[in-house]
Formats: sequence, structure tokens, C-alpha cells
Amino acid sequence: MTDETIRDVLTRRGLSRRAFLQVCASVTAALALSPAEAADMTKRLETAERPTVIYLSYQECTGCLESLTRSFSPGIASLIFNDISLAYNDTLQAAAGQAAETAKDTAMKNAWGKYVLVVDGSVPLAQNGAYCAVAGRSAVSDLKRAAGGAAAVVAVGTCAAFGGLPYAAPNPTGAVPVSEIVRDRPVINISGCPPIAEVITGVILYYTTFGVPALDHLHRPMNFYGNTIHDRCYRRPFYDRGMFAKTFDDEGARQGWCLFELGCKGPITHNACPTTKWNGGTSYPIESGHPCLGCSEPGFWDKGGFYKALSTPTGHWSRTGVVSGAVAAGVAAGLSTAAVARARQGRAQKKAASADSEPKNPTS
Amino acid sequence: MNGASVLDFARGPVFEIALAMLIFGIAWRLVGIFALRRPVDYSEPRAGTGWGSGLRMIVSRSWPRREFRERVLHWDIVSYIFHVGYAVAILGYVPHIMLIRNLTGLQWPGLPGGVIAFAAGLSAGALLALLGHRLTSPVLRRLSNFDDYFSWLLAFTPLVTGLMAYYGIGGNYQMVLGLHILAGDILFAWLPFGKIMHVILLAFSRGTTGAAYGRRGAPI
Amino acid sequence: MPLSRGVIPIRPVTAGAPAGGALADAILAEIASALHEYLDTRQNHVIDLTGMPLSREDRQRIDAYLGQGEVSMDIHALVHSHIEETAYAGVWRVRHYDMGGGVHSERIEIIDVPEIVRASSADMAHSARRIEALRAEEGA
Repeated sequence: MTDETIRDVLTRRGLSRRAFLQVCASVTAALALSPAEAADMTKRLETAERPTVIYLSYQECTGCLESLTRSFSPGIASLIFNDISLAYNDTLQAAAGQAAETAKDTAMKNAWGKYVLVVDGSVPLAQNGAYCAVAGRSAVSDLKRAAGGAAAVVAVGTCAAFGGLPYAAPNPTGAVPVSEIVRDRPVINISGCPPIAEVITGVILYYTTFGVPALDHLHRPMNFYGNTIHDRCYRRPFYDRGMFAKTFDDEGARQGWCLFELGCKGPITHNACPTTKWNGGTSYPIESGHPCLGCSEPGFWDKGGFYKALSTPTGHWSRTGVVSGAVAAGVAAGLSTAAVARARQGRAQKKAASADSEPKNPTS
Repeated sequence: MNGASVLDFARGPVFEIALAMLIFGIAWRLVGIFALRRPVDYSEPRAGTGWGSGLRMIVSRSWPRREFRERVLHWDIVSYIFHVGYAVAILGYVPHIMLIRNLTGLQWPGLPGGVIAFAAGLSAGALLALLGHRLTSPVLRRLSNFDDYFSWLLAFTPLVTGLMAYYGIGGNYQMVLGLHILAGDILFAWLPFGKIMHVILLAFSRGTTGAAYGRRGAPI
Repeated sequence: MPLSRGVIPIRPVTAGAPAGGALADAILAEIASALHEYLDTRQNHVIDLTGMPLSREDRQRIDAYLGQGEVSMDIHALVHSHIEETAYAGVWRVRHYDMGGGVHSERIEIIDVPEIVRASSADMAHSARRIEALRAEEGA
């Protein structure tokens, strides 16, 4: 581990302090820091050791890495991340086989105890972890070993944070999120399918300068996951006025009305999409006319359907089965209750009739 | 249990159980009542079959007769505020209409959130006033049993949790929304088994009484 | 004809906070107090507009109020930055562009010269070394 700072790295590349200040402006803007915090961050970044990031992938689709490295126009933050701090990544490196394993070991050894471990993908536990193995070692044992030398673990993407798609019912591989395996290190969850690139890099740089950020109950940084999509949605006024698009091509959809009826999960989804946006700040899904899928929330895959309104039942059982079963049982119960009642009515009538026909004793 | 799982639980299995109980209960009570032996009326009908009188009474009993107005009209009005506000909130709010559409395929245009919140707020206020009246009126208090208070609570909880969800009170939106749907589920499930069944039986009980009186020639 | 115009009639809806220009007024007030603060204590101040939910009206009002000053500069370092003084001395607008040409950071700075413009001592020392190296090379 060198004691190089981010500033040193830029200088070595012939870039001035101005380049460094550009980086700082980018990061503080992404993190929405107050002026005082931003000044503090700039000061700290000046002397902060450059972060060493080791990026490991397990049960994942590489979408998160795509988000990080192939953003529309590479932002400064991703440049920092890719060129300055990333010490190891399976997917991006040229090395393969034994050379790759050696590179990983070296990267870990050089920064043992100090590196930020980024994990992408869930970890399968079924069949002793045989569903995901790298170089003959199961994901679970690989993760445990790598986490041993990490200062902090950043779970990138909903798979790593909450299990994601591999975790979806019936979860054949016994997938679990990173936080189930790593219990003795701070775990920061950056959920999303995928997460926004600026959020990933922003959190890593924040960690380098200030340490673990304030987290919500799901261990997501409050800076980015403090509000719901619905809270910050520019279509919110239409929700409040009761103006909803009913289909994807009706007048409401064209006028940009609220997408709640088309299944938008914005009200229960915490993420920075409406403010940070995607593709270098171009837009976010709702701006493109599509309801929020809720991809940064646990179990978003199993919430009854992306296009089902949030207020409707998830359709747990067969509706016809429930309704016809209940009607049949209800009618049967009603008939038997009535039969009992009729029998009682009959007995009472008979008793009354026989009482009428019996000679009355005038004295009693 | 966190907010997300409460919400999933309420929208998932609990909703299905509640729906099953609602349908079962309504079928049970209606069939049970209709299959009863009718008392035979040997008297000669004074005015037709009574159908007209039955229908008339469903409407006429919706407002107190002149003799009682001074004593009960104001409470009737409070009760109407509760009922109308409740109906507006249930039938006018788009997320509720989505549920009805999901169940029945029927739908109609919704009302703005502010109108719904106002109606629900009025309804909740009226419901509180009615509880106060029930607790303070010596006659009503003696007439009330567990069913009345329990039904009151089940009617009140969805209103309060719904308003909380609408205004973002209570912090965790998912939890509040989950509890609101859960409260709605419980109301659904309990509806046929307690006094809230008047939602459905109201027309039948008034109609039957009206028909019987009508046959005997009583003014409806 | 682009597909979007011909086949799917697209009528874009402009995003943005529905509020009027309330934020612009707040920002102006902040600038005024920051100028006093700077004169008294030499403490610079930065208002980051990037994450602010500014309406179009807000932006128009900010632009109209601040106007254009005497100085404008461009920095070509890691990315392109454009700096210009507003009609008010010591109130600067600093925009950093990303590689695609979009603005990724936009701020108003209250200071005599924006910090990013100054050549740092470290960079100047580095320059001195480079010139000496060049002279040594040419001399050899």
C-alpha cells in the first residue's frame, strides 16, 4: 500500500490542482453536501490516501459494473474510480486464470486491512455454495477471506444488498445478501438494479474522506436513499390532483400524468433517481414515461407484478379459487344453519300446536 | 417485521384470507336468513303484496320522522357526515378504485387527493363524535356491546392510517401503508360477522319490515 | 423524419418544480450576506446549484439578476470548466462540464478570485522543475 493521495495521482499524470478541484466539485455536487461540508471534504481529499478498491463479483449479471463503467459520458467520479482506486476487478482485467488469482492476492496483500471491498452479486449457500465458485473456491469462502482484510464492505446492486434476482422465490441457489455473510465489518448497501454510477463512486469517496456515511435501516446511505422517488417526483402534483395515466399511450401518458395506476412503485422506493438522474443527469425512468419498478428495495422482484398498482392485492392465490370456495362454503354453512333453525322452528310450532289442543286446566 | 414485509403480507395472504372471509360470511348470513321458515300470515292483505311498501321503507327510514327529529336529527346528521365521508374516501380515491377494478373490473374516475383527505378527515371527526355520544348517552351505553366498540375501532383504524399515509405521518411510509391495508383487510374480514353487516342487511331488514307493515295497511 | 415525430406523437412535458421563483430570491439573499461575510472575515462561500430543484423561472431570475461581468475564463484540465464574473464584483459563476459537454456541476462562488483559477504552489514548483529539466536537456 502506497501512501499516495488522490492529489498525488493527478499530479503524477501531469494534471494540476485545478483538475483536483474539478474532482472535488463533482463529488460534492453528487453528494449534495452543504457548502461547509463541501469545503471540509475538499480539505480532507487533499490529504486522503487514495482509496484501494477491490471489486468482486458473484451471482450477478454485470449490469452494476456496466452502470459504473459505461455511463453515457464517463463522469469524473467514475474516472477516479476506474483509473485511480480500482486495484482488482475480475471483469475488467486482462489477466486470466492463475495470473488473475495472483493479481487478486497481491492487491489484497498490499492493502490488507485498509481496502474497500466492493461486492456485486448475491452469495449462494445451497449445496455448500457450489452454485458460484471462482478458481475452485466457493463464493462464500472467497467473500469471507476478502472481507477479512477490508476496512469496509460496499454491497453494490440489489443482489449484493438484498439478494436481488437470485434471491427471488423460490431461490434455488439459497442466495443471501452480503450482509448475511459479513458481520464483523461495516457493510454499506448501495441498492438498485443497477445503482446510479455517481452514487457508487460518491459513496466510496465519501467513505475515504469521512468514513461510513449515515445509513438507513437497510444500511443504505441517507444522502442518496433518504427520500422516496415519489417524494421528489416531478409528476407528484398529478398524483395529488388525482390525474393518472391509464395506459401507456393515452392522453394522460402523453401529458405526463402520474404513473401510479400503471404500477409505479415510487411511493415505497428510496433512491436518488429524481435528483441525480441517469446517463449523466439526462433523465430517469419516470421521465421516460415508465413507472418505477422499485429496484432499490428488497424483494422488488416478488411484489406481485411491475405493472400492478401498489394498492391492489399481489394476487397470492387464485382469485377464482378464493371466491368460488368462499361462496360454496358460505352457502353450505348458510343452508345448514337454516336447517338447524328450521328444525327448531318446527319443534316449537309442534309444541305450540299440541299445547293448544290439550285441555286446559282452569285452576292452574 | 419491517414496513416492506408488513405491506407484502397485507397485500398478499392477508388480503386473500380477508376476501374469503368476507364472501363466506356474506353468503352464510344471506343464505341462512333466506332459508329460514317464514311465519305464515293468515290475515288478509290490506294493501297488495307489500313489495311497494318494502321499497318505500328502505328510503323513508333514512330520515327520522317528524316526532323524533328534535331529539335525534343532529346525531343523524353527524352519522351521515361519517357515512358520506367514508363512502367518498372509499369510492373516490384512485388507489381504492384500482383495488375495486382489480376485484370486479369496474372503474370510474377518481377525485383529487385533497378532496379525499377532507372527506376522510370529516368522517374521522364524525366517528369520534359518535363514539363520544355512545359513551355519554345512558341509553346508548346500555344498548352497546363489544360488537359496537370493536366495529367502531375497525372502521376508525383504516381512516386514521389512510390519512397518515396520505400526509406522510409516522415516518416509515411502507409500514403505515402496510398497516392501512392490513386495517382494511381486517375490516373486510369482520364485516359480515358483526354489526357492520348492516351495509348489506340494511335493505333486507327495512324491506321485510316495510312489506309486513304494508300488508297490514300501516302507513310507511 | 425521425420515428418519434412521425409515428408516435410526442409532446414533451417540461420537468421541474412547479413553484415560482421563490428559490431565486433565497439565493440572492444568500449572495448578499456572503459578500458581507467575505468582506468581514475573508471567508469564501459556495452555493451549489447542481442538486437544487430550480424551476425555469428560478433560473431565469437568477440569470437576469446576476447578469454578466467583466471577466470570463475557461479551464481545460481534467474536464472543461467555464468561469465568469457576474455583474457584481466577487460573485462568480463556475460551471464544470463533463466529457459529453453536459454541465455536471454548477455553482456560484463568492470570493475575490475563484480558488480553482489560482495556480497552486505545488503546481508552480512542479513547473519550475519541468523548466529546469528542459533547460538541462537543451544544454546537454
